Amino acid sequence: MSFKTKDVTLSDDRPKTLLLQKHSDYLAGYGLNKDDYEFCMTEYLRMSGIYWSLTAMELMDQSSRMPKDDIISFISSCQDNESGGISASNGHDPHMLYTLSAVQVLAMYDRLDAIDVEGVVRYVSSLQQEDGSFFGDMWGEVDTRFSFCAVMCLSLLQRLDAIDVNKAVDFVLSCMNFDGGFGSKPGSESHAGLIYCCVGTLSICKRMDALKAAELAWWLCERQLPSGGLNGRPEKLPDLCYSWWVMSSLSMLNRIHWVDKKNLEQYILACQDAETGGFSDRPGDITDPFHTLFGLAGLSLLGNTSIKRVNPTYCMPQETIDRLNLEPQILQI
Amino acid sequence: MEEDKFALVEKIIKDVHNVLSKIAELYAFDVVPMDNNFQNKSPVLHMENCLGLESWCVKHVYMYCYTELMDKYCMKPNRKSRKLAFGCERLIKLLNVTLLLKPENNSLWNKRRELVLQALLDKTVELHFSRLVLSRKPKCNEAYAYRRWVLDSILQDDTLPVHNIESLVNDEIVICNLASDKCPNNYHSWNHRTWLLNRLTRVKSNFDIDSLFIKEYHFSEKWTSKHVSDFSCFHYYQFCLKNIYSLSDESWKILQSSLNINLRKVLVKLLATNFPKDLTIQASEENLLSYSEENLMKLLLAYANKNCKCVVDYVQLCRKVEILFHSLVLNDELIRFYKHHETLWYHRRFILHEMLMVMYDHFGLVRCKGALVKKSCKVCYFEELRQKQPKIVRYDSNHIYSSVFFNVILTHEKKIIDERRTDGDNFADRHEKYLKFVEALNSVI
Repeated sequence: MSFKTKDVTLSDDRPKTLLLQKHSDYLAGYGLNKDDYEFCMTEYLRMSGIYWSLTAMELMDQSSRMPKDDIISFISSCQDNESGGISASNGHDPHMLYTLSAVQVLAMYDRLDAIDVEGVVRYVSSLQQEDGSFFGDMWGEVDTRFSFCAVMCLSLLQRLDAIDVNKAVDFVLSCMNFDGGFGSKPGSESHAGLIYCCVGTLSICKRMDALKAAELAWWLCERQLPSGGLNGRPEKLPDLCYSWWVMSSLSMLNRIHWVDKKNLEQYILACQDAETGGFSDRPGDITDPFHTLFGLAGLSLLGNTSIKRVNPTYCMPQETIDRLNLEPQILQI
Repeated sequence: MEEDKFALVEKIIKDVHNVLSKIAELYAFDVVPMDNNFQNKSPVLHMENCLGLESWCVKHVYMYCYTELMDKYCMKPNRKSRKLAFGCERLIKLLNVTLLLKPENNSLWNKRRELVLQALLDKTVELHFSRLVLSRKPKCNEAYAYRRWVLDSILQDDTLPVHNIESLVNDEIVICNLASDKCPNNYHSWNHRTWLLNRLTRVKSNFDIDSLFIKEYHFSEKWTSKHVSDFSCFHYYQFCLKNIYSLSDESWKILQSSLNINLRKVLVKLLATNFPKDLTIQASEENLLSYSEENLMKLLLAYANKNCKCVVDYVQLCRKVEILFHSLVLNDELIRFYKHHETLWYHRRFILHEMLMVMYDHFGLVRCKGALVKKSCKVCYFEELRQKQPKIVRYDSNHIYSSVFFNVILTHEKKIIDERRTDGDNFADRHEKYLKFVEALNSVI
C-alpha cells in the first residue's frame, strides 16, 4: 500500500508449489530426532504439539506415520484422576488448553474411550464462573481462549449440557469491541487469534447472529498486507498462523472471498522450507509443527484439493466433524 | 567428567541463589551470549544490580534442574503439595533457575503458588522474582498471570494501608512501562495495566482511583503521541478516555488544571470553523465560550427524541464531548505529521464511533445490523435484537443528520480526508470507505 507498510517481500526463489512429502517427513521425524534439551524446553506444551502434528498429518492423509498407540497411552497417563483434567505431559498440571488438545486428538483417532470422559466433563464445567467465563485451571486466570476450549471440548464429547451455554456466550460477547473484534478479557484489544476463539465459541453455540459481522469482517480483511500474508493486529508483521485465525473466522462469517486468495496462497507457500520441510511464520524462518498445521489448514480453506477439507471452527478434518455429527454454525448472508 | 559437570551445575545453582538473596535490589536478568567457558570462572554474573548467566552453561543447567524438579517434586506420588515443605529450600532454588530460563512453563509457576499459599514463599519476594523474569521476557503472559494472582491476594486484604497500595501500583506501572517500551504492541503488558486499574476499582479502602485515572490518561496521551505505530497503547489510551468520561466534579477540575490546554476552547474552535454555512448560527467563538454546558449541548444536538423520561446530565455530556473533540484534534495533528500509519487512522475510527454513539444515544437510537432502530431505555442490546424492531423511519435519522454536531463532524472529516488524500496518504480513502460502509454513513457522505 505504501512505502511505510511493515511487511516482508517474497523472493523469486521461494517455494511456489506445495511440498507435501517434505512436510510429512518433517513431522514424522520431529518426535524422533530431537536432542534432549529441545524436548525438555517444549514439554510444557507437549499435548498441543501432538495435536498440531497429528492434525497436520491427518490433513495430508499421512497419520499412519504417527505412533498411534504410544500417543493414546500417553494421553491416558496425563489425565489427573482427582480433577479429571489433562496436562501437557506427565508431571505437569492439568489445564484447559491441554485438555482440549487431548480430546481433539482422541476424537480424530475415535478413541475417546481412552480417557475418563466424565472426569473431563467434571473438570471443564468446574472451571465455569458466575459471569459465564472460564478459568484456565484452578488458579483463576480468565481468558476467552479458555471459553473456546471449554465449549469445543464439551461439544466433541457431546456434553455441552454440562455448562451454562447462555452465560458462556454472554461472557464472550462482553469481550466484543466497537470494531467487532474480540480480546482476551472484557475491554482487551481486538486480536485475530482471540477473534477466532470467540467466533468459534459462537459458532459451536450457534449464536453467530450476535456478532457485528460487517464490522468484524471489515477488520479481518484489513489484516492482509501487500505480500499477501496476514497480520493479527494493525501495523504488525505478517505471520503464517494468522492465515488460519483470520481465514477460519472469515469462513465462519461466510466472507472468505473478501481477501485476495491468490496472494495469500503465494505467501503461505513461501513460508515452506524446501530443505527441512515444514512451514514457518515468515519466509526463511525456522519451521515448527504449529505453523506447519496452520499453513496446511490455511491452504485447505483456500480450496487446495491435495489437502483434506478442514473444519474452520474445530481446526480438525471435516470428516471427523461429520463422523461426530457436529454442525458448527456458519453465518448465513 | 560427569561428576565435574554436576559439581559445576551445583555451584551455578548456589551462585544464582546467593545473588537472588538480594532480590529487592535486582532489576534485570538476562542470558549473556558466550560460546565457551574461556576464563574458567563462574558463569553467574552480578553487576550493577543485574543478574546474568553466560549462555554456554544454559543447556546443562536447565536440563539438570528441570530433570530433578520433575523427578523429585512433580511426578506422582511426590506431587502432593503437603510434601512441599520437606526440602522446600532445594525446590525453590531449582524453580528459580528453571523459571528464569523458561518462564512459559506454567506448572512451575503453580508450584510457586502452592508455596505461597503455605507461606513458604513471600509475596513481595515473588513480585521481585517475576519482575526479573519480565525484564528478560517482557511478553511472558505466564509471568503477568502470576503477578495478577499475587497482587489479587495482596489486595484482598481490606486493611492494607493506602500508601502500600500506592507503592504496589507504582511498581506495576514501572514494570509495564519497561515492558511496553522493550516490545512494541505488547498485548500482555497493556492488558496487565488495564487489569490493574480495573482491579483497583474493587479495592475497599479509600484509594483515590480518580486521581490514578487522571494520571493514566495523561500518561497514555503522551505515550501514544510518541508511539504512533503501536495500536496496543492506543487501545489503552481509549480505555483511559472512557475512564474520565464520568469523573466527579472535583476530579474534573483537577484534570482541567493539569492540562495545558482549555478543553472548552478546543471544542468551541472546532465548532466555529466547521459550522454549516447554510444554518443561521450567529454565535462567534467568544459567544460560544460563554454558553453553559446545557446550552452548548442543546445547540449541538437540539432535538431530543427519547422515549424515556431520563434527565440528561448536560454537564457530563459536555465533558465527554470536549474530551472526544480534544482527542480528535490531537489525532488530526498526528495524522498530518506521521503519514501512512494504520494505527492513527484506527484510533480515529474509535473517536468517531464514540461521537456517533453520543448522538445515537441522545436521539434514543441504536444501530442494529446496519440499521438504526429505536432503543427503549434500560433494555439491553440483545433484547433489542430479539424484538426485531422495524427500521426507523427516515424522519428520525434526519434529526441526527441535520444536527449541528453531526454536520460539524462530517465537514471536519471531509476536510481531513481530502487533505490527507492530496498528501498521498492511502489510508484517507480507506477511512472514507469505512465511514460510508461500516459506520453506515453512505447516504450522507
